[in-house]
Amino acid sequence: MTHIPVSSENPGHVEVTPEHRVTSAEVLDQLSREVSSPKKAERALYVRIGHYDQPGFLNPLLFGFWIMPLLLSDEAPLSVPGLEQLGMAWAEDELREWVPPEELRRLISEPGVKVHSPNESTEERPSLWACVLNTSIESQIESTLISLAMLIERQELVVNTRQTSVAVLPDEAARVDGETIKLIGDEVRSNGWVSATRAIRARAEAAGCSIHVEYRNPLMELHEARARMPLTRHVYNTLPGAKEFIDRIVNSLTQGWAIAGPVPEQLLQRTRDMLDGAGIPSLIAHCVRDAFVCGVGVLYIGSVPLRDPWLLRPEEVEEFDGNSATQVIDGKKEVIRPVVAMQGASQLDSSVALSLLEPLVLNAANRDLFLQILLNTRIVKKVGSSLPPQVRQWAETTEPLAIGQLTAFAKSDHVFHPATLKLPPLSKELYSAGFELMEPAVSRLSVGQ
Amino acid sequence: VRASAGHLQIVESALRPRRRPRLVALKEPARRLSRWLSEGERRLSLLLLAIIGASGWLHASRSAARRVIIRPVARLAVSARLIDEAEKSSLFPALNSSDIAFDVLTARKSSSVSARPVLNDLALLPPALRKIGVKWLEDQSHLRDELPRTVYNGLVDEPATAGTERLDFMLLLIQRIATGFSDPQAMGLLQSLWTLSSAMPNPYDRSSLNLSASNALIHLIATRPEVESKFIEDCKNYRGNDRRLALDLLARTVRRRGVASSKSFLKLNAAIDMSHHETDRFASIADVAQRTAARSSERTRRPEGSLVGRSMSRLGVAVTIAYAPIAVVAVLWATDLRSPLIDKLPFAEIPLEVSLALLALIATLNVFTVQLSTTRLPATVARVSGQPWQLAGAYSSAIVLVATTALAPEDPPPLWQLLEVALMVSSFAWLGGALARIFRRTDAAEACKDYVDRYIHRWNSAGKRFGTEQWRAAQLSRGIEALPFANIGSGEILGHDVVRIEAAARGLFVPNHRNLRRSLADGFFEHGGFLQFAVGFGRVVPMGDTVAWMRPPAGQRVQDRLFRRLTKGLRPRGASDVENVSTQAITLSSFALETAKLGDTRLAETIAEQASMIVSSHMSCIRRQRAKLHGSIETPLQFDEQNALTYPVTPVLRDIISLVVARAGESERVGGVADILVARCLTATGPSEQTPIILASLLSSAGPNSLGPERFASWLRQAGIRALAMESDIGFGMATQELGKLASKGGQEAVIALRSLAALSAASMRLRPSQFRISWSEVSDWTSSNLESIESVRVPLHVGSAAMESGSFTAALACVRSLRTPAQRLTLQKLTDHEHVFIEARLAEATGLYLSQVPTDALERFRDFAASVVPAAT
Repeated sequence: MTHIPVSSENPGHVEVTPEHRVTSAEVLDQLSREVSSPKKAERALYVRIGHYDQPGFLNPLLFGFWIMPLLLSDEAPLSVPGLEQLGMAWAEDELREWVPPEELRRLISEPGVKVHSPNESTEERPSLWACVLNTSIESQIESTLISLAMLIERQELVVNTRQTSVAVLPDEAARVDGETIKLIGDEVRSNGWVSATRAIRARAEAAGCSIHVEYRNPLMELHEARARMPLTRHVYNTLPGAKEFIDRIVNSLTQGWAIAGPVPEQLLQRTRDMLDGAGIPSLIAHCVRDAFVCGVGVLYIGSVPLRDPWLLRPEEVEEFDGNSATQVIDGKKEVIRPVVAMQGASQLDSSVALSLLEPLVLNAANRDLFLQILLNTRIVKKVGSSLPPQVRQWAETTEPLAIGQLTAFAKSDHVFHPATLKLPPLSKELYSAGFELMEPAVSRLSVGQ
Repeated sequence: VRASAGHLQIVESALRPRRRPRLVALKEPARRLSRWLSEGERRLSLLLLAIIGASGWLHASRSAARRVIIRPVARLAVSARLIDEAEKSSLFPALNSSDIAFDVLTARKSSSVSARPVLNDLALLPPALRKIGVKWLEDQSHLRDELPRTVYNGLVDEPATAGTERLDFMLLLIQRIATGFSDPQAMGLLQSLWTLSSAMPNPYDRSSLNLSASNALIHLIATRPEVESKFIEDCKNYRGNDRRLALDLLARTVRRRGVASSKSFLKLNAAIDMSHHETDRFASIADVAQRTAARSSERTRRPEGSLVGRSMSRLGVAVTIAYAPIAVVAVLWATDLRSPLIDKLPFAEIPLEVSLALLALIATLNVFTVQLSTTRLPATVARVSGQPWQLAGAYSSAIVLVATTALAPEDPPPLWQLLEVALMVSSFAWLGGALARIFRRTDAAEACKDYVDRYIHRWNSAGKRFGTEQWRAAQLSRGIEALPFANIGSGEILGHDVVRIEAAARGLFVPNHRNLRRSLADGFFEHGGFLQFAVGFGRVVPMGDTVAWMRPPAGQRVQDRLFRRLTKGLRPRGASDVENVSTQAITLSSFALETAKLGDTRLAETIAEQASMIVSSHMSCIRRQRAKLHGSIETPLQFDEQNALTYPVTPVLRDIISLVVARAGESERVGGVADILVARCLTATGPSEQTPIILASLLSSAGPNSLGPERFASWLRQAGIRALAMESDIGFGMATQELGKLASKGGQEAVIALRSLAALSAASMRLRPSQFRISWSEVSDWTSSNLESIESVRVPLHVGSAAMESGSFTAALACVRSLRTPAQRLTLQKLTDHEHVFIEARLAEATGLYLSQVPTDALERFRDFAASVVPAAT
């Protein structure tokens, strides 16, 4: 008969006060130490937890997500058996409903990038759990514990169901996830989170593995964040909904500015004329998009009014503050000031900023995978009779799964803040002509070994 | 159960008090001083640079002088803030190599007779110097005539050979010399500038010229009418990206026109046929709406009553009471003082009965006057008005007189009789003074003023204490929010194992910080215990109310020790002084309203002013105290943002407003007095008090009928405007929403509500442009369902004209778009024809809209604009 208002009943963007930051770090540090197994077992899971501070544009119900480190940055182009005979034009036509032709061509013919799956971790390269700082500490604890528990359960699932059918795996996984959420949630609420950590440790021992968790900020160092920029650009360019979400926010943040401030009106007028005259609104749109997609966007404005302001490429920015940025080109450093600098999500104890699309990297990778699967099934269908029956059987059963997943991805806006859908619609010409998609981006993402 | 070290650390990180030593108070004066000093340094450096420039020896022996002077000149340029400190290094090579750098920095006249080499030299300077160079070049009168031709040649004839720096520089110069070109030159420039600005842009390119060229183009178009008409003609032929760019550039020229911008906007709209989407974009780019934010939103007014006055009056009362006993002591002591004159005077001996009678007389008069005041005035005011401080003097003298007559010494000292007589006289004198004072105070206004003067210090110090408590409460609640096992919220926890903690007394609920820290550090909370506060910190709670719930971990029960400790720590603090302020303010306010009801409006207003003074003085003490404490907060370096604290509602404010809202409908006169109180409550408070929200929500629950739609709408309008000034979007939204509800009732009420909404829309364009659509959506909701009403045309007409005049073209376009039917457009024509336009101008004025100096022109301009916009349906 006990009722406690839990975080999910009371969603909303939590204000990040200094007390909130310090306590969050302290609590997760304690949690990581409590949940770690004392001894290393044969099968050991390594996890590193860090904080991710989103600026409020993502869904407040996003409590955390797995970040997948880069595994292989130059994967060979896909070889799709049977495609040569049918031709690229056929494939484009066949998949037009799911992917634009240009994107499909790049997906198949260009090298891709491979990232780690959260299920594979080594001591040197642990799985990364990003805990969102802007949620209440209760939810941070609960979501982190649940995700750790799920990690163990999924390991179990993978080990035990090697022999069972792949088709039932999603349902099985959903069932296990549901059970874990309920179990850990109840334990946290009735006996405190310390007791829940013990339960997870015991579960790991029972499954014959050990879990080693470390809390350390930042999630990514500069070179890691930089290497991920092409990945998040790929998410922006391809994942349905991502581009529209970012563009809507960029539009409402940067267009139709009304300047206000405690200075004489004439000065405001002149300031706005100078900003508009220097084309700041359109450049700042690029700058904000860079910030949200790549983590950092820097606009140099020191040349105004002598010359046009210009943007720094996110990859070249080493560090920045409110007023200046360090640009590195071919190892040569140059301090540039004054600049307007924006950042996406931030981390604790580091000035390296992360992309807002980071939680969607896995989705984009899965979408790429299911596109490939769908293409294969369509080829099998087309080529048909000359193939062995098992292959045809596989195509029969897998196609609905792929279509179902792709349909789900086509409207995957649950990661974004619901309020963004209510923002005013886009003015069409937000970015400079020829810069609608972001470059350089990877062409294909895949997960696992 | 003992808690682990980790748990203690978690509690500590959330609830550690963060205060910094009081040195912060010195920070502001120190900053002001340093700003003053650096401003002085800047002026001195400019002067020295000018002296160096004026003295001819710079050029006399060039090489030697230069080497000596480079460093000082560079340093002076930095301290004169001509050059940024970071760019100082680029200054030395420039000063080393060219004369022109010296000339620019020291504002010397150029020695060259031709503009071309000067331009070339200037373009090669580092960017920081080039910026000053443009200004400097403008001052060179002997080169001014030649400049346009040089720039024209450079841009039109030989752009390829010029080099980027020179092109940049010349593009920038066009802004200064646009009027100097001949007509063919201007036309030629238009072509080449258009070519430059419509090239494909690359935002990552360091050397693109698009934007500088567009900027120059805008200047040229804005200053040369013939270029403008040519460009408009060209624009009609452009397609796609070119047309978009051309329209953007034209829209930006509108902003250059200042007060004539609405005329120019109208002209361009009529000249070019634009699609629906293009009109939107054009209006939003041409929009000049940017407004000065209120600087003083958090500034507080001084509390009433000065410290000097207060101590002087205390001293006065002390002297009045003490001088009679002191005189007795002095007379007893001065035994050998004997004067023949005094001996000769025939003093009568005063018997004890007389002195007792005197005392009785004073007491009777006192009781009588207090009784008399009580029948007319509220009890607390009557007590003060019936007892002026002179009465204390009379009592003191009379009591001492009784003592001297009753206990006279055997051998009275020489001045004894004189003393007795003097005491008697002084007692009468004080009594006379007191009576005069009391008679003056039969005027209720005077009585109330005296009352406020006497107690204002007490209320101020209550405010100060309350401010401290509110700040502590806000700090503490942030700490509690950060803890995983404690929460603040009104959600009720029920259960057999849940323990309720109730308020042990009435008072202000601010938990003891240290006690809370110790209690939460208990192992109970580490193992699943949960503490939920039912009341927000800083509120007044009645005795016996639930302040918190405690839920034990599964299978355990709450220990008595912890329960006792928490009950003790959560005991509310006494708040009688704060509540007293509220009571007194209410007493005076309702007295004022009562008086107004009886018919004496002037008196009622005077009393209401006194009541509002209590509120404003008390509030400003609270706000000052909070601001002071907030300034002393320690923020760790890594968290550079200053999170604003949210404070609980102040009781006196809420009480006064709810009283006024409840009673304003009694009669027109009462309403008039209530207006004064409401206006004062709104202006005396800052953003953190959220007065507009309180007012709007109380009005919402009272409904328009209780106080008449006129007053209801007028107060909502005041609340809305105040909310705009304090940047409280929620308050503004609530006010407009209520007005929208009133409008939906139809009839006369709708007209009243629409007038207020129109005023709010116009105010939002000037104070906070982003809020315009909030108020306008309420208007357009109404107009879209009442298309045939004349008001559905009149309100867009008035608001739209005001929008055109204030340069909010987006708002004006929204007004035009709300005129949907042909019938509405016809009505618009009729309202603005020669017969009706004057009436409309008058009406707009009565609504509180400002339509420039010639309102009829503004209305006609809006009509013409509406005619030039393509209706949404097509």
